[in-house]
Amino acid sequence: MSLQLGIPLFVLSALLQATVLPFWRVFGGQPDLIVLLVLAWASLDPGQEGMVWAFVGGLFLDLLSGAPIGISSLSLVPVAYLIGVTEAQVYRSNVLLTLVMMTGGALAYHVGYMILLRFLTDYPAAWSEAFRYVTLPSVVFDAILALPVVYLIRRWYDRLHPRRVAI
Amino acid sequence: MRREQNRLLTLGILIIAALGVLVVGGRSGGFRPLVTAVMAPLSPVARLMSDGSESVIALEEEGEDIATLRERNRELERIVAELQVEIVRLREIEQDYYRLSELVNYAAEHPDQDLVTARVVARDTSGYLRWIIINRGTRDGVQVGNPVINEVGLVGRVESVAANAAWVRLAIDPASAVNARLQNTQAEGTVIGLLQGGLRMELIPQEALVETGDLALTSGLGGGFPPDIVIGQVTSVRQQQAALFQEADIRPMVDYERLKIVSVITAFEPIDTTIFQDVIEQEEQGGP
Repeated sequence: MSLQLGIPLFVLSALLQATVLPFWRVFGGQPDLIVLLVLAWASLDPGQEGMVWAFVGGLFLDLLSGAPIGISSLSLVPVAYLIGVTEAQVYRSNVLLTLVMMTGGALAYHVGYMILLRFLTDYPAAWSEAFRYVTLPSVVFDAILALPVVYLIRRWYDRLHPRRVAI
Repeated sequence: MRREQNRLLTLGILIIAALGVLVVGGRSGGFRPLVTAVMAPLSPVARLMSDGSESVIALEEEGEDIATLRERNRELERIVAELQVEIVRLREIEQDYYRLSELVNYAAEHPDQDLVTARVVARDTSGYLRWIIINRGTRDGVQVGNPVINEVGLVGRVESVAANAAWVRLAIDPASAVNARLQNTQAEGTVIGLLQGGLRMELIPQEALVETGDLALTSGLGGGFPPDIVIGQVTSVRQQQAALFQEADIRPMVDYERLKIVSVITAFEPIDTTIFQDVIEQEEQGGP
Protein backbone atom coordinates (compact mmCIF):
# COMPACT_ATOMS: atom_id res chain seq x y z
CA MET A 1 0.00 0.00 0.00
CA SER A 2 1.49 3.29 -1.05
CA LEU A 3 1.84 6.18 1.35
CA GLN A 4 -0.50 8.29 -0.76
CA LEU A 5 -3.25 5.76 -0.22
CA GLY A 6 -2.32 4.40 3.19
CA ILE A 7 -1.99 7.63 5.14
CA PRO A 8 -5.40 9.05 4.12
CA LEU A 9 -6.98 5.64 4.74
CA PHE A 10 -5.60 5.41 8.25
CA VAL A 11 -6.38 9.05 9.02
CA LEU A 12 -9.95 8.50 7.90
CA SER A 13 -10.20 5.26 9.87
CA ALA A 14 -8.85 6.89 13.02
CA LEU A 15 -11.29 9.77 12.65
CA LEU A 16 -14.16 7.33 12.19
CA GLN A 17 -13.04 5.45 15.26
CA ALA A 18 -12.93 8.65 17.30
CA THR A 19 -16.09 10.29 16.05
CA VAL A 20 -18.59 7.75 14.73
CA LEU A 21 -17.81 4.37 16.26
CA PRO A 22 -18.03 5.52 19.92
CA PHE A 23 -21.75 5.95 19.31
CA TRP A 24 -21.92 2.30 18.26
CA ARG A 25 -20.58 1.05 21.53
CA VAL A 26 -22.43 -2.04 22.65
CA PHE A 27 -21.74 -3.42 26.14
CA GLY A 28 -18.68 -1.15 26.24
CA GLY A 29 -17.10 -2.53 23.07
CA GLN A 30 -16.68 -0.98 19.65
CA PRO A 31 -15.09 -2.14 16.39
CA ASP A 32 -11.33 -1.61 16.09
CA LEU A 33 -11.27 -0.38 12.53
CA ILE A 34 -7.55 0.29 12.24
CA VAL A 35 -6.66 -2.99 13.92
CA LEU A 36 -8.83 -4.87 11.44
CA LEU A 37 -7.29 -3.04 8.48
CA VAL A 38 -3.77 -3.73 9.69
CA LEU A 39 -4.43 -7.40 10.41
CA ALA A 40 -6.10 -7.91 7.04
CA TRP A 41 -3.20 -6.28 5.23
CA ALA A 42 -0.64 -8.24 7.23
CA SER A 43 -2.39 -11.49 6.36
CA LEU A 44 -2.17 -10.73 2.64
CA ASP A 45 1.24 -9.19 2.29
CA PRO A 46 4.21 -11.53 2.43
CA GLY A 47 6.60 -8.65 3.10
CA GLN A 48 6.82 -6.17 5.94
CA GLU A 49 4.08 -3.78 4.93
CA GLY A 50 1.73 -5.13 7.56
CA MET A 51 4.12 -4.19 10.35
CA VAL A 52 4.80 -0.75 8.89
CA TRP A 53 1.09 -0.02 8.71
CA ALA A 54 0.62 -1.43 12.21
CA PHE A 55 3.09 1.16 13.42
CA VAL A 56 1.52 4.02 11.46
CA GLY A 57 -2.05 2.99 12.33
CA GLY A 58 -1.13 2.70 16.00
CA LEU A 59 0.23 6.24 15.98
CA PHE A 60 -2.99 7.59 14.52
CA LEU A 61 -4.99 5.68 17.13
CA ASP A 62 -2.96 7.12 19.97
CA LEU A 63 -3.10 10.61 18.56
CA LEU A 64 -6.84 10.60 19.19
CA SER A 65 -6.60 8.99 22.59
CA GLY A 66 -5.57 9.78 26.11
CA ALA A 67 -3.17 6.85 26.09
CA PRO A 68 0.57 7.48 25.74
CA ILE A 69 1.49 7.86 22.07
CA GLY A 70 3.08 4.67 20.79
CA ILE A 71 1.25 2.22 23.01
CA SER A 72 -1.04 1.04 20.21
CA SER A 73 1.86 0.69 17.78
CA LEU A 74 3.72 -1.31 20.36
CA SER A 75 0.76 -3.63 20.78
CA LEU A 76 -0.07 -3.95 17.11
CA VAL A 77 3.33 -4.40 15.45
CA PRO A 78 4.11 -7.80 17.10
CA VAL A 79 0.67 -9.08 16.15
CA ALA A 80 1.18 -7.98 12.55
CA TYR A 81 4.57 -9.71 12.59
CA LEU A 82 3.13 -13.00 13.84
CA ILE A 83 0.42 -12.94 11.21
CA GLY A 84 2.93 -12.05 8.52
CA VAL A 85 5.09 -15.03 9.43
CA THR A 86 2.44 -17.38 8.14
CA GLU A 87 2.19 -17.82 4.42
CA ALA A 88 -0.42 -15.49 2.95
CA GLN A 89 -1.81 -18.31 0.84
CA VAL A 90 -2.92 -20.16 3.96
CA TYR A 91 -5.38 -17.39 4.80
CA ARG A 92 -6.55 -17.05 1.23
CA SER A 93 -7.56 -20.66 1.03
CA ASN A 94 -9.48 -20.99 4.27
CA VAL A 95 -12.22 -18.66 5.47
CA LEU A 96 -12.36 -20.20 8.92
CA LEU A 97 -8.64 -19.78 9.37
CA THR A 98 -8.95 -16.16 8.29
CA LEU A 99 -11.64 -15.59 10.88
CA VAL A 100 -9.58 -17.25 13.60
CA MET A 101 -6.53 -15.22 12.60
CA MET A 102 -8.40 -11.92 12.64
CA THR A 103 -10.19 -12.62 15.92
CA GLY A 104 -7.06 -13.98 17.58
CA GLY A 105 -5.07 -11.01 16.31
CA ALA A 106 -7.60 -8.55 17.71
CA LEU A 107 -7.59 -10.37 21.05
CA ALA A 108 -3.79 -10.38 21.14
CA TYR A 109 -3.75 -6.66 20.40
CA HIS A 110 -6.18 -5.95 23.25
CA VAL A 111 -4.24 -8.07 25.72
CA GLY A 112 -0.98 -6.40 24.72
CA TYR A 113 -2.59 -2.97 24.94
CA MET A 114 -3.95 -3.66 28.43
CA ILE A 115 -0.60 -4.96 29.66
CA LEU A 116 1.19 -1.88 28.38
CA LEU A 117 -1.51 0.45 29.68
CA ARG A 118 -1.24 -0.99 33.16
CA PHE A 119 2.52 -0.96 33.25
CA LEU A 120 3.12 2.39 31.58
CA THR A 121 0.33 4.38 33.20
CA ASP A 122 -1.59 4.42 36.47
CA TYR A 123 -4.50 2.62 34.87
CA PRO A 124 -6.38 1.11 37.80
CA ALA A 125 -9.13 -1.03 36.25
CA ALA A 126 -9.07 -4.71 37.16
CA TRP A 127 -8.19 -7.29 34.50
CA SER A 128 -11.50 -9.05 34.88
CA GLU A 129 -13.49 -5.83 34.48
CA ALA A 130 -11.44 -4.73 31.50
CA PHE A 131 -11.88 -8.11 29.84
CA ARG A 132 -15.61 -8.28 30.53
CA TYR A 133 -16.55 -4.70 29.71
CA VAL A 134 -14.18 -3.82 26.88
CA THR A 135 -12.01 -6.62 25.51
CA LEU A 136 -14.66 -9.25 24.98
CA PRO A 137 -17.33 -6.99 23.39
CA SER A 138 -14.71 -5.35 21.16
CA VAL A 139 -13.29 -8.67 19.99
CA VAL A 140 -16.80 -9.94 19.22
CA PHE A 141 -17.38 -6.78 17.18
CA ASP A 142 -14.08 -7.35 15.38
CA ALA A 143 -14.97 -10.97 14.67
CA ILE A 144 -18.26 -9.91 13.09
CA LEU A 145 -16.54 -7.36 10.85
CA ALA A 146 -13.45 -9.45 10.13
CA LEU A 147 -14.51 -11.23 6.98
CA PRO A 148 -16.06 -8.21 5.21
CA VAL A 149 -12.93 -6.18 5.97
CA VAL A 150 -10.64 -8.96 4.71
CA TYR A 151 -12.73 -9.29 1.56
CA LEU A 152 -12.50 -5.57 0.80
CA ILE A 153 -8.82 -5.33 1.61
CA ARG A 154 -8.10 -8.43 -0.46
CA ARG A 155 -9.78 -6.88 -3.49
CA TRP A 156 -7.76 -3.72 -2.99
CA TYR A 157 -4.56 -5.66 -2.44
CA ASP A 158 -5.05 -7.74 -5.58
CA ARG A 159 -5.62 -4.58 -7.60
CA LEU A 160 -2.41 -3.03 -6.27
CA HIS A 161 -0.44 -6.25 -6.52
CA PRO A 162 -1.61 -8.21 -9.57
CA ARG A 163 -0.36 -11.79 -9.51
CA ARG A 164 2.40 -12.64 -11.93
CA VAL A 165 1.74 -15.56 -14.21
CA ALA A 166 4.51 -17.41 -16.02
CA ILE A 167 3.81 -17.98 -19.70
CA MET B 1 -100.54 14.72 -57.37
CA ARG B 2 -102.48 12.64 -54.99
CA ARG B 3 -99.28 11.87 -53.08
CA GLU B 4 -98.51 15.53 -52.71
CA GLN B 5 -101.94 16.12 -51.33
CA ASN B 6 -101.48 13.39 -48.71
CA ARG B 7 -98.27 14.94 -47.59
CA LEU B 8 -99.86 18.34 -47.16
CA LEU B 9 -102.66 16.74 -45.26
CA THR B 10 -100.26 15.01 -42.89
CA LEU B 11 -98.38 18.26 -42.35
CA GLY B 12 -101.58 20.01 -41.46
CA ILE B 13 -102.67 17.33 -39.05
CA LEU B 14 -99.31 17.33 -37.28
CA ILE B 15 -99.24 21.10 -36.97
CA ILE B 16 -102.71 21.07 -35.57
CA ALA B 17 -101.72 18.24 -33.19
CA ALA B 18 -98.72 20.17 -32.03
CA LEU B 19 -100.77 23.22 -31.48
CA GLY B 20 -103.28 21.04 -29.67
CA VAL B 21 -100.63 19.66 -27.37
CA LEU B 22 -99.42 23.19 -26.69
CA VAL B 23 -102.91 24.32 -25.94
CA VAL B 24 -103.84 21.29 -23.83
CA GLY B 25 -100.80 21.76 -21.60
CA GLY B 26 -97.71 19.56 -22.06
CA ARG B 27 -96.40 17.39 -19.24
CA SER B 28 -98.21 18.96 -16.37
CA GLY B 29 -101.46 19.37 -18.18
CA GLY B 30 -103.84 16.91 -19.74
CA PHE B 31 -101.12 14.67 -21.05
CA ARG B 32 -99.59 14.13 -17.64
CA PRO B 33 -100.81 10.56 -17.19
CA LEU B 34 -99.49 9.65 -20.57
CA VAL B 35 -96.17 11.29 -19.89
CA THR B 36 -95.97 9.50 -16.56
CA ALA B 37 -96.68 6.16 -18.16
CA VAL B 38 -94.03 6.64 -20.74
CA MET B 39 -91.47 7.96 -18.32
CA ALA B 40 -91.88 5.10 -15.87
CA PRO B 41 -89.64 2.69 -17.77
CA LEU B 42 -87.52 5.37 -19.33
CA SER B 43 -86.49 7.13 -16.20
CA PRO B 44 -84.28 4.37 -14.70
CA VAL B 45 -82.68 3.71 -18.03
CA ALA B 46 -82.04 7.37 -18.48
CA ARG B 47 -80.61 7.59 -15.02
CA LEU B 48 -78.33 4.67 -15.66
CA MET B 49 -77.14 6.17 -18.87
CA SER B 50 -76.77 9.55 -17.30
CA ASP B 51 -74.81 8.13 -14.39
CA GLY B 52 -72.69 6.16 -16.77
CA SER B 53 -71.88 9.24 -18.71
CA GLU B 54 -71.09 11.17 -15.57
CA SER B 55 -68.91 8.34 -14.35
CA VAL B 56 -67.00 8.30 -17.57
CA ILE B 57 -66.58 12.05 -17.46
CA ALA B 58 -65.70 11.89 -13.76
CA LEU B 59 -63.23 9.11 -14.45
CA GLU B 60 -61.51 11.20 -17.03
CA GLU B 61 -61.44 14.17 -14.68
CA GLU B 62 -60.37 11.94 -11.78
CA GLY B 63 -57.53 10.57 -13.83
CA GLU B 64 -56.28 14.08 -14.17
CA ASP B 65 -56.91 14.67 -10.45
CA ILE B 66 -54.99 11.52 -9.41
CA ALA B 67 -51.99 12.58 -11.42
CA THR B 68 -52.23 16.04 -9.90
CA LEU B 69 -52.70 14.61 -6.42
CA ARG B 70 -49.75 12.28 -6.83
CA GLU B 71 -47.61 15.15 -7.95
CA ARG B 72 -48.90 17.23 -5.06
CA ASN B 73 -48.28 14.34 -2.67
CA ARG B 74 -44.70 14.03 -3.85
CA GLU B 75 -44.25 17.73 -3.42
CA LEU B 76 -45.71 17.62 0.09
CA GLU B 77 -43.56 14.63 1.03
CA ARG B 78 -40.50 16.52 -0.14
CA ILE B 79 -41.54 19.55 1.88
CA VAL B 80 -42.21 17.38 4.96
CA ALA B 81 -38.78 15.78 4.62
CA GLU B 82 -37.17 19.21 4.34
CA LEU B 83 -39.11 20.44 7.34
CA GLN B 84 -38.11 17.40 9.38
CA VAL B 85 -34.46 18.11 8.61
CA GLU B 86 -35.07 21.73 9.55
CA ILE B 87 -36.78 20.69 12.80
CA VAL B 88 -33.82 18.48 13.72
CA ARG B 89 -31.43 21.32 12.92
CA LEU B 90 -33.45 23.79 14.96
CA ARG B 91 -33.69 21.37 17.87
CA GLU B 92 -29.92 21.04 17.79
CA ILE B 93 -29.63 24.81 17.79
CA GLU B 94 -32.15 25.01 20.62
CA GLN B 95 -30.16 22.51 22.67
CA ASP B 96 -26.94 24.34 21.93
CA TYR B 97 -28.63 27.58 22.95
CA TYR B 98 -29.84 25.98 26.17
CA ARG B 99 -26.38 24.63 26.95
CA LEU B 100 -24.70 27.93 26.20
CA SER B 101 -27.25 29.95 28.16
CA GLU B 102 -26.78 27.66 31.16
CA LEU B 103 -23.04 28.08 30.88
CA VAL B 104 -23.49 31.85 30.64
CA ASN B 105 -25.63 31.69 33.78
CA TYR B 106 -22.92 29.67 35.48
CA ALA B 107 -20.32 32.25 34.47
CA ALA B 108 -22.53 35.05 35.78
CA GLU B 109 -23.00 33.26 39.09
CA HIS B 110 -19.25 32.63 39.42
CA PRO B 111 -17.48 35.87 38.59
CA ASP B 112 -14.30 34.53 40.16
CA GLN B 113 -14.00 31.93 37.39
CA ASP B 114 -12.81 32.36 33.80
CA LEU B 115 -14.52 30.08 31.30
CA VAL B 116 -13.53 29.05 27.80
CA THR B 117 -16.28 27.32 25.86
CA ALA B 118 -15.23 24.47 23.60
CA ARG B 119 -16.67 21.87 21.29
CA VAL B 120 -16.06 18.16 21.65
CA VAL B 121 -14.35 17.08 18.43
CA ALA B 122 -13.47 13.46 19.15
CA ARG B 123 -13.69 10.68 21.70
CA ASP B 124 -11.02 8.28 22.79
CA THR B 125 -10.23 5.61 20.21
CA SER B 126 -9.52 3.13 23.01
CA GLY B 127 -12.39 1.43 24.75
CA TYR B 128 -10.38 1.29 27.98
CA LEU B 129 -10.20 5.05 28.38
CA ARG B 130 -12.90 7.68 28.75
CA TRP B 131 -11.39 10.80 27.28
CA ILE B 132 -12.57 13.47 24.91
CA ILE B 133 -10.72 15.91 22.69
CA ILE B 134 -11.89 19.53 22.57
CA ASN B 135 -11.11 22.26 20.07
CA ARG B 136 -9.44 24.68 22.48
CA GLY B 137 -5.84 24.69 23.56
CA THR B 138 -3.05 26.82 24.88
CA ARG B 139 -3.90 29.57 22.40
CA ASP B 140 -7.19 29.99 24.25
CA GLY B 141 -5.61 29.86 27.68
CA VAL B 142 -6.36 26.21 28.40
CA GLN B 143 -3.80 24.52 30.62
CA VAL B 144 -3.20 21.06 32.02
CA GLY B 145 -5.25 20.56 35.16
CA ASN B 146 -8.08 22.91 34.21
CA PRO B 147 -11.51 21.60 35.28
CA VAL B 148 -14.07 21.04 32.54
CA ILE B 149 -17.80 21.41 33.09
CA ASN B 150 -20.97 21.58 31.05
CA GLU B 151 -24.42 23.02 31.73
CA VAL B 152 -25.26 20.10 34.03
CA GLY B 153 -22.14 19.53 36.05
CA LEU B 154 -18.62 18.19 36.15
CA VAL B 155 -17.19 16.74 32.94
CA GLY B 156 -13.56 16.12 33.80
CA ARG B 157 -10.12 17.65 33.77
CA VAL B 158 -7.65 18.67 31.07
CA GLU B 159 -4.76 16.23 31.09
CA SER B 160 -2.93 17.13 27.94
CA VAL B 161 -2.98 20.23 25.79
CA ALA B 162 -1.77 21.36 22.38
CA ALA B 163 -2.02 24.80 20.77
CA ASN B 164 -5.50 24.26 19.41
CA ALA B 165 -6.76 21.11 21.14
CA ALA B 166 -6.94 19.62 24.59
CA TRP B 167 -7.36 16.06 25.85
CA VAL B 168 -9.83 15.82 28.72
CA ARG B 169 -10.04 12.87 31.09
CA LEU B 170 -13.73 12.42 31.90
CA ALA B 171 -14.88 11.91 35.46
CA ILE B 172 -16.06 8.41 34.47
CA ASP B 173 -12.56 7.36 33.37
CA PRO B 174 -11.28 4.56 35.64
CA ALA B 175 -8.22 6.63 36.52
CA SER B 176 -10.23 9.70 37.48
CA ALA B 177 -10.53 10.69 41.14
CA VAL B 178 -12.38 13.78 42.33
CA ASN B 179 -12.68 15.01 45.91
CA ALA B 180 -16.39 15.21 46.61
CA ARG B 181 -18.92 16.10 49.26
CA LEU B 182 -22.50 14.97 49.71
CA GLN B 183 -24.88 17.89 49.72
CA ASN B 184 -27.19 16.88 52.58
CA THR B 185 -24.88 15.03 54.94
CA GLN B 186 -21.78 17.07 54.12
CA ALA B 187 -19.85 13.79 54.20
CA GLU B 188 -16.72 13.85 52.11
CA GLY B 189 -15.12 11.21 49.95
CA THR B 190 -13.55 10.56 46.58
CA VAL B 191 -15.54 9.93 43.41
CA ILE B 192 -13.87 7.54 40.98
CA GLY B 193 -14.88 6.43 37.50
CA LEU B 194 -15.86 2.89 36.62
CA LEU B 195 -15.00 1.05 33.43
CA GLN B 196 -18.51 -0.34 33.15
CA GLY B 197 -19.89 3.21 33.29
CA GLY B 198 -21.02 5.26 36.23
CA LEU B 199 -19.23 6.54 39.30
CA ARG B 200 -18.49 5.36 42.80
CA MET B 201 -17.89 7.50 45.86
CA GLU B 202 -15.34 5.93 48.16
CA LEU B 203 -13.73 6.87 51.47
CA ILE B 204 -17.00 8.10 53.01
CA PRO B 205 -16.69 8.01 56.80
CA GLN B 206 -18.65 5.18 58.44
CA GLU B 207 -20.54 7.52 60.76
CA ALA B 208 -21.98 9.56 57.89
CA LEU B 209 -25.65 8.91 57.16
CA VAL B 210 -25.71 8.58 53.38
CA GLU B 211 -29.11 8.53 51.71
CA THR B 212 -30.07 7.70 48.17
CA GLY B 213 -30.91 10.78 46.14
CA ASP B 214 -28.30 12.91 47.85
CA LEU B 215 -26.23 14.98 45.44
CA ALA B 216 -22.48 14.55 45.17
CA LEU B 217 -20.67 17.84 44.60
CA THR B 218 -17.05 18.73 44.19
CA SER B 219 -15.63 19.59 47.59
CA GLY B 220 -12.90 21.84 46.28
CA LEU B 221 -10.36 20.20 48.56
CA GLY B 222 -6.99 19.74 46.95
CA GLY B 223 -7.54 22.74 44.73
CA GLY B 224 -8.14 20.68 41.60
CA PHE B 225 -11.75 21.73 41.16
CA PRO B 226 -13.86 24.63 42.34
CA PRO B 227 -16.34 23.62 45.07
CA ASP B 228 -20.03 22.84 44.54
CA ILE B 229 -20.00 21.56 40.97
CA VAL B 230 -22.59 18.81 40.63
CA ILE B 231 -21.13 15.36 39.95
CA GLY B 232 -24.06 13.00 40.38
CA GLN B 233 -26.69 11.51 42.60
CA VAL B 234 -26.41 8.67 45.10
CA THR B 235 -28.29 5.58 43.91
CA SER B 236 -27.17 3.02 46.49
CA VAL B 237 -24.98 2.77 49.57
CA ARG B 238 -22.72 -0.07 50.73
CA GLN B 239 -21.83 -0.10 54.39
CA GLN B 240 -19.90 -2.96 55.95
CA GLN B 241 -19.24 -3.26 59.66
CA ALA B 242 -15.63 -4.35 59.22
CA ALA B 243 -14.73 -1.66 56.70
CA LEU B 244 -13.24 1.69 57.63
CA PHE B 245 -15.27 3.56 55.07
CA GLN B 246 -18.52 3.18 53.23
CA GLU B 247 -19.13 3.43 49.49
CA ALA B 248 -21.94 4.85 47.39
CA ASP B 249 -22.85 4.30 43.77
CA ILE B 250 -23.31 7.61 41.99
CA ARG B 251 -25.37 8.16 38.87
CA PRO B 252 -23.64 10.88 36.85
CA MET B 253 -25.71 13.95 36.09
CA VAL B 254 -23.78 14.59 32.89
CA ASP B 255 -24.58 12.44 29.85
CA TYR B 256 -21.02 11.62 28.89
CA GLU B 257 -22.07 9.84 25.71
CA ARG B 258 -23.62 12.97 24.25
CA LEU B 259 -21.21 15.70 25.19
CA LYS B 260 -21.10 18.44 22.58
CA ILE B 261 -20.31 21.74 24.24
CA VAL B 262 -18.22 22.08 27.38
CA SER B 263 -16.54 24.89 29.27
CA VAL B 264 -13.00 24.86 30.54
CA ILE B 265 -12.49 26.74 33.80
CA THR B 266 -9.18 28.39 33.09
CA ALA B 267 -9.06 30.33 36.35
CA PHE B 268 -10.91 30.02 39.65
CA GLU B 269 -10.52 30.95 43.27
CA PRO B 270 -9.42 27.78 45.05
CA ILE B 271 -10.97 26.93 48.39
CA ASP B 272 -9.28 28.65 51.30
CA THR B 273 -7.19 25.99 53.03
CA THR B 274 -5.14 28.32 55.20
CA ILE B 275 -7.26 27.41 58.24
CA PHE B 276 -6.14 23.83 57.85
CA GLN B 277 -2.57 25.01 57.52
CA ASP B 278 -2.82 26.62 60.96
CA VAL B 279 -4.15 23.37 62.45
CA ILE B 280 -1.35 21.38 60.80
CA GLU B 281 1.27 23.76 62.11
CA GLN B 282 -0.19 23.54 65.60
CA GLU B 283 -0.17 19.74 65.45
CA GLU B 284 3.42 19.75 64.20
CA GLN B 285 4.41 21.93 67.13
CA GLY B 286 2.69 19.47 69.47
CA GLY B 287 0.08 21.90 70.70
CA PRO B 288 -3.71 21.30 70.79
